[in-house]
Amino acid sequence: MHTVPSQRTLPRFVVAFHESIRKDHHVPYVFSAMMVLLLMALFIYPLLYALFSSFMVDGSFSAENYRRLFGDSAFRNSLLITFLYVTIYTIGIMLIGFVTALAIDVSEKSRLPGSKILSSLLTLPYAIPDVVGAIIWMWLLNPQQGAVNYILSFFGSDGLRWLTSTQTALISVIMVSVWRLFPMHTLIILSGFKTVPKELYEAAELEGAGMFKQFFYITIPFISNILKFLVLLTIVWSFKRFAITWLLTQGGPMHSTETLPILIYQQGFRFFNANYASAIAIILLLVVGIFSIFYMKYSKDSDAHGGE
Amino acid sequence: MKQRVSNRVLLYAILIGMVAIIIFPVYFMILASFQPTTQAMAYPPNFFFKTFSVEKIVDIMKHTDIFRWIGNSFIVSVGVVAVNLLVSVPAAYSIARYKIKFNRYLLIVILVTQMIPSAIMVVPLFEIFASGGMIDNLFSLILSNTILTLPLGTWILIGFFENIPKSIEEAAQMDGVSRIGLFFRINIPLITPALITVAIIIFFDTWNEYMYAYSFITSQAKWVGTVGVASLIGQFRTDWQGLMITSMLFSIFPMVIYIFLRNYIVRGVAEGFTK
Repeated sequence: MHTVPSQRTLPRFVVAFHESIRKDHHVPYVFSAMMVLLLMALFIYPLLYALFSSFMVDGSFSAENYRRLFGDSAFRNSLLITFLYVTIYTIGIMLIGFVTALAIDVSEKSRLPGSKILSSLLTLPYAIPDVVGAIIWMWLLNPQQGAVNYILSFFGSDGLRWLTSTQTALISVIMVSVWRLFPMHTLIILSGFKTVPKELYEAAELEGAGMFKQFFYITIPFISNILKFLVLLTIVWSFKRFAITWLLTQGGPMHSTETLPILIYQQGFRFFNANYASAIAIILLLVVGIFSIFYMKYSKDSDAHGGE
Repeated sequence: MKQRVSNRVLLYAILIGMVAIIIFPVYFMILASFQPTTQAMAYPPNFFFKTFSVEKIVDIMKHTDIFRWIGNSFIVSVGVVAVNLLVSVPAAYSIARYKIKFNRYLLIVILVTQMIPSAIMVVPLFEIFASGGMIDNLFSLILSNTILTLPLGTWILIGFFENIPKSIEEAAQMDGVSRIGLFFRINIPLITPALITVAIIIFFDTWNEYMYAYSFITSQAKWVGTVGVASLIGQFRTDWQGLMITSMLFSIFPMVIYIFLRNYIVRGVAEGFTK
């Protein structure tokens, strides 16, 4: 038989530990032990490290980095650029994601032959690495040798200096990012369309509602939760965008594409101001944090109301 | 009936128009890769195949390290898939099965991880890896990419585990299967398709990652594909065809995987985002 140690001779926590092993209470912790370790070592610790080093100046503790930030015009510019980037990117990717998802949904529902292969091709940029997308577009958008300006010349345009003009660089960079990343949105919105129960459409058809009516009165209200959730997720994720911007413009021309991730990278790895870079990173963390709170709150609420 | 047919034609026209615009850059890359240099680089550009040639491709294969870099990408991506699944499968199982307070907090931390831009982590991770002597070591990429991809994988797996009816576990428990046995012998076989889904998504994300790879690896022989291909931008300057060929070689594998295994990704997305 199991010999339970006398409760009087052993410290409380040892007894508790023994109890939990006997009753299998430890099982969930064993399963997630590696996850906890990894998160501590490579997530919590680096974050604390960044927070700590953002308060370090020449080996002593001070808020100088933050004071410097608020007087830094490059930082204020970067905040503005980030705001523009996030806004335009989110609108663009939602629109393209929605339109492509709708096209795929309609073609699948009407059993169009070849719709499978067409939808695979339509979302192919999912498989193209950022670096590759950036390089192809760098060529296409080249003012002298690029195909885009060549095509525009048929419409009587002299073409644009896409990536080298301060007026068009940001929008070009966003366009390439949207092209590269919209397929995930297509797939998410498409899976939203598929959650609408077929009976609703059948009932509407019996009532004599046409395609457009069905779309606006059934589909849209039904997936509006997913769309709102996706907008928040897109905003949160758009702060991650780095590679395409970095390769296309490195933040230029004249800082016109210098989003916060680019600024952090410049400070950390080009000017070797690791502590200053950390201070900017902490500000970015706060900005992302605000949207994340909205997002988490929202996804909790919608779970409570809608979800399964 | 007549209206049906014209609707279909219209639908085809819209779809094919969209596809043409979206995949034009990819088509252009492939077109430029398989033509003689004079045609590939001609201006005005050629939009259709004229002469087929692999001369330049052979040349690029000989004179760059592209296959070594692609090989490194494979090592890192497969490593990340392995480490990630090893960590996320049991954790996702625990979160899905045991609704205890600890797991609820763990889930929140995992969700937060997913929202943190890697720009925030890159400087501290660099210094941590540097103090451990792990800069210029592919293992540092495996670890850092695991953290990047953990949340999404775990999130999707939780959904799949929750879909397994409790009654299956209860029946097995009646037969005397232990808690650990439940996990290995009952649950793991049931979520094998989910494992494939998650593996593909993690593989793609790691294959695509640039910032960490660019920062933590210094010697050219250890570069992964993203860094190697990007480095040629400076080196080749205006040799657009060379850039297209290296880009094509680097993205051919994910493209093929995507076209054939797209359904797995679709299923993972449906599971992860529309619950």
